[in-house]
Amino acid sequence: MADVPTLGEFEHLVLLAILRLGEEAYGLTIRNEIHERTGREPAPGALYTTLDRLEDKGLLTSSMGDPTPQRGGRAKRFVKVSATGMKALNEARRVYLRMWDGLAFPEAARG
Amino acid sequence: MDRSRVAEFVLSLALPAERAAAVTGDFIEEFEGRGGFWFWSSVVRTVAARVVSDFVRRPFSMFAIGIAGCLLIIVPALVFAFSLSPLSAGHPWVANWIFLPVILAWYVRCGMWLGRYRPKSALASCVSVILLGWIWMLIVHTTPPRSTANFVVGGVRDVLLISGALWARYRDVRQTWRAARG
Repeated sequence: MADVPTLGEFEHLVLLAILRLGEEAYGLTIRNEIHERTGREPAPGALYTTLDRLEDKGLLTSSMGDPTPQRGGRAKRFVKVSATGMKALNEARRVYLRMWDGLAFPEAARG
Repeated sequence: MDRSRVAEFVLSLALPAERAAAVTGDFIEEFEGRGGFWFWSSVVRTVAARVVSDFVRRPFSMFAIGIAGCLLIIVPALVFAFSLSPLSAGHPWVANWIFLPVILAWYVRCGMWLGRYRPKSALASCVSVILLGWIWMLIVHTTPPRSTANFVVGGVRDVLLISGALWARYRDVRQTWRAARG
């Protein structure tokens, strides 16, 4: 699996958020999804930089939608996880599961 | 110019025009209930994050742009100064008055090239040229006598370079506004 790019933690979160949002994934909804599910509010700069980086790595693709009046006539940049992105997510999941496998989870840390 | 257009223009210094428009749209959508401080700090932080990211992800490329930009500024200036040397021997003030406006316009032109040919990283490219320009200046002027005028010229050069890049990006963004209108 050497040809599959490895994911940083935030990249992992962003790709999962995009998968969850499906056709409605763009900057604002991705930020909200991450905020709702993790309680963290990603800085806009970090999010847009990460989206560009993921696209450069070939892990996602983007397309422009139609301009809307609520956005001052500006289009949304919709993003989708690419086939390579899916491979990278699967690989990251496999690695996490293998690392957790057989590990006794301390009761005190369960929250 | 309204707030969103200024924001889009600022963002276009670090992003292609189409993406700057999309990011501005996101900020406008989220702006309700957040306030002006959040809006502008988001714009500035997005630009800053993008500039830092350009240097982190492509350090050699940014270094090469810095070197190329410095050469583009310095070499023609030296050639022009050399071509004026016969005139400056007899009439130094006349030579200065010819040299100065041409060279100032040249700085703006160089900034415009950076803004035009590096649309994804116009600001980062300017920062790279400026940083290398100052490193060069500090190396050249480590030994006395240090002239304040050289540092003033360096500051003016930086302002003109960024002004050129701003102008080039403004023209690009204005085209997207026109296209959106009709």
